[in-house]
Amino acid sequence: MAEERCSGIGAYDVVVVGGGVTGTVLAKVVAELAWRDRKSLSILILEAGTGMVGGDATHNAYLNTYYGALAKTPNAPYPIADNAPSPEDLAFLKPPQDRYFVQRGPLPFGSNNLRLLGGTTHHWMGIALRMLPSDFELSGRHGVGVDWPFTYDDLKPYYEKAEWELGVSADSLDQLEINGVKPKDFGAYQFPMHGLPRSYLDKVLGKGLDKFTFKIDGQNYPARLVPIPQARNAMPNPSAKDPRDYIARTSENERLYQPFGAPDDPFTGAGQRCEGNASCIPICPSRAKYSALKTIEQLKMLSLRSGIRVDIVTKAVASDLELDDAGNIAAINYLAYDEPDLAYATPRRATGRWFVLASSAIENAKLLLASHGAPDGEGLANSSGRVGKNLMDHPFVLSWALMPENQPVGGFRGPGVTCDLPMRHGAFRSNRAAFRTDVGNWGWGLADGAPYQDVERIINPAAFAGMALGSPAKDLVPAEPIFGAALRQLIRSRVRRQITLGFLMEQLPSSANRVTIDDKHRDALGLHKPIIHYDIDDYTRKGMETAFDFATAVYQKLGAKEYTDPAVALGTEVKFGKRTFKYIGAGHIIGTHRMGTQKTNSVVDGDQRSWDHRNLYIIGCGSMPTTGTSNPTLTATALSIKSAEHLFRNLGLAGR
Amino acid sequence: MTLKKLHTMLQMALEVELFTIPPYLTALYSIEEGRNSVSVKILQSVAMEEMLHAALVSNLMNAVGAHPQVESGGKGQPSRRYYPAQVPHIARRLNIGLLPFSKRAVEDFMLIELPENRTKWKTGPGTYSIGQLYDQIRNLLVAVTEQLGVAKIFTGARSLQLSEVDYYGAGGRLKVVTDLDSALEAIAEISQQGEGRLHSNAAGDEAEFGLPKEVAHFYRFEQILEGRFYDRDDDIRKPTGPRLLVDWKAVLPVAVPGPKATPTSPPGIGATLDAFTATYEELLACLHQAFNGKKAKLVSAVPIMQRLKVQATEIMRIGIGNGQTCPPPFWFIES
Repeated sequence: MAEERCSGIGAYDVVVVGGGVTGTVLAKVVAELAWRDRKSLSILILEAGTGMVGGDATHNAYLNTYYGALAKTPNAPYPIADNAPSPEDLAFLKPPQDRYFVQRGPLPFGSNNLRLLGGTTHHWMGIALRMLPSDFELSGRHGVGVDWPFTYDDLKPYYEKAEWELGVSADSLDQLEINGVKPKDFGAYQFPMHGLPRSYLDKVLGKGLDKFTFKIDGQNYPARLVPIPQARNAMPNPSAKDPRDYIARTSENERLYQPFGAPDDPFTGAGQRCEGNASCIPICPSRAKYSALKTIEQLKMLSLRSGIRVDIVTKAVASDLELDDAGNIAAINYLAYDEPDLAYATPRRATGRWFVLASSAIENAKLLLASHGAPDGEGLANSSGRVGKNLMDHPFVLSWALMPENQPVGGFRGPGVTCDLPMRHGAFRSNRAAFRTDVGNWGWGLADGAPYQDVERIINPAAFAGMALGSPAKDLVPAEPIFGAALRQLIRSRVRRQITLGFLMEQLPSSANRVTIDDKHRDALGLHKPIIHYDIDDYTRKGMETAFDFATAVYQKLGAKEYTDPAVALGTEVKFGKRTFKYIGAGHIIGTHRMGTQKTNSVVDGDQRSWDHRNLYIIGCGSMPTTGTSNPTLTATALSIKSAEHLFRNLGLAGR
Repeated sequence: MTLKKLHTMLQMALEVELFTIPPYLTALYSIEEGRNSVSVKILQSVAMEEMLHAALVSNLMNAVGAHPQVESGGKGQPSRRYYPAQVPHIARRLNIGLLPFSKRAVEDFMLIELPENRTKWKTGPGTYSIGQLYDQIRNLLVAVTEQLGVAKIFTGARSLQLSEVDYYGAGGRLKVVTDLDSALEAIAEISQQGEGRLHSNAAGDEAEFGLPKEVAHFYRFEQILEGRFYDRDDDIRKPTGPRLLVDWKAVLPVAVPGPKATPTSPPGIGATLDAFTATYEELLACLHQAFNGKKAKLVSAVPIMQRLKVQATEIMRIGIGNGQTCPPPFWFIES
């Protein structure tokens, strides 16, 4: 296991581009299978960004950067190399030509990723829920979008393995509360750890919403508070059995789950659990939350134990793929830099037998489009013409309200979200987007800058006098500044009654929403910047309308006073009829190399293998044909494991 | 008779484990925020493993039908005693106080965690070291089990056993004790992590899991004093690994020796100390219940420990004259 640059990158069995969750899980599963079957194997992982495998020094450095950051945005704690830029959290602060994404509109694409060893799982929330069975058949059932090349039942065993790979805390019985989930969808399976405790807020809201239903397109749907599966350490479930048949075992005992905590920590290695630090995004101080560094650490230990060669090379930005005469991938060219912020790099070439692109949906598409090996000038793996197309997100919209005086909910504790109010399934999906709900545990933090904004309004009301606030928001601004005990009392009364419902909206695939490249737009090393064309269609906007109506109905049922105000909300305006909403990105970059049943309608097959180049897998959220309403990391991880098993069967290690 | 002796000795072991935690925590919490990060990690890891050891002793006790006592002062309970004090149930002179992070404190910790040395064990009456205490427990356990049979010794209910489901997070596994084999494993885990062997600095975990070099407590502390890590192939007492930087000055000026009587100034200090005392009482009560059947209490103890840390640090910032600050009024139990 070498992190330093290898000078001569010889032929590897598998070359992976991208040191995030999908690439490292794939590498780990292939390595586990090789070890189980006692085969020798070599894997190279190329990471564009900088970074190290865990260790307290690195973690503490990230943590201290986070503590010192004025704007605690998702990428705030992490070092970002100029030579491998990540999309900026606060792009509007930079002149357009300096931003990494070239946004061609009509709307901005609101999500970003992190190019650093470990990838975006450094700053993800850790929500790890499955897609619904109906999500795989959107076209068949509702006549919109497309179907997946396989069903939920086909992916189910990989979901189970993915939940054990990431370490997901949840209880199957809870998941059966979701409308659209049947007992057979989970069967006798048990998650490796029990669900996290519900927050006090969840309990108060759960009681208030007992038997509540909501009507959409003439049909009533149950509005139940359902705990969300989370990839963070909680209490292990002693009766759960490990479904990962790719792991070599010597005893039945080894099928019990061992929580995995800080990577590379010689002293306290075994499984820090969630302490409710309430900063999952951007960083989990206790390292209870899954990050790909944990997988890399496990891969490192496996490599030591098994003799399987795993080289991880950071500061290596893939620039293009090369073909051999037979039309297979022969090599990946990359630029190796020494200084993150000095625009100087050495071209290098990594050869191998099998190649895996796992560098996020946008980077995967960009890399394929920038590879000029194909005769048609459309890049590689693109005979379908679909590379870069069907870019999707879960546009995220927020509503917020104050609970009655006598019903504080005590926010700002625990992970950001512990429960969902799902509206994910129903006949309405032929007409409007489904959504799931982040029942926010952090007050109005995201919606309205709480608690800082609460203080500001009360001590400096003059600053808000000229603002075009909606009528309820005006009530929050006193006539005169208030200080001292009265200030403390008012803050206390307000902040602990704040509730937020955030909606992750389903988005349909559209070839107009796409990633392209243009020779005019280059980054520091001269590689293409992604050019993004993005819009939100009426299907999703109609869903937003429903979501806000739903929020209003929930607040009425709870006796809460709504303060939702597009004038002050975060994000970009979209209109539907007379209504205005504001959305931000959910951080979910989906689409761009769709999976499908045929070479003509998709970029990869059901195992994420390129139709055009059979020794190439293009993996990650980019393969997802539709978004459903689930945060996509778990699904992408399940797909990685599916691809890894497929790849291993094709590796041709016989005789080793 | 001998079974009763075993119960008594296990309670002694529990008291020894609980005795060690406050000195470690005091040193740990006295380090200025963000400084001496390696030493912090070492102290933290040892303190966490002592908590694991206390839980393992509780499992041993429950397995053989004893009742772990953690609370103090009541009828049939151990008495409450204050630092500095002789380590309970250890015969050789070993006076330990609540010191801020310093060379002297680390030297004291090494004396607590003295490696196994069987020649010294033979020379004096009583128990020479914690290592010897566990050795005596091991021998007694084997002897009574041979004498009375497993069925008469391991009579405790399985439901009393704490397991990894109830506790995890330190470098070791909370083993469930149901028979002689698992009891001996639990004892081995405690002594390997803590005192290690005279001729080896490795703690058990390393060999078991192929993890990076993890040395037993004594040697872990020695690294701080030597300013150097152990390398993988180093002999004991001669670490040659990378430098370990220690800033002995980045420490709160906690008074040594601590005040003889409870300080009454500055005004308000009494309430702060009382709040700490209440929290520590609450924590020990919680652990007592967790060790005696109410296992869910172990989770309730977590936020109390966090509160205790905040309160201890607050006390260590209160000036009590001469530029010195107040140590947290931890106590220990001794029967």
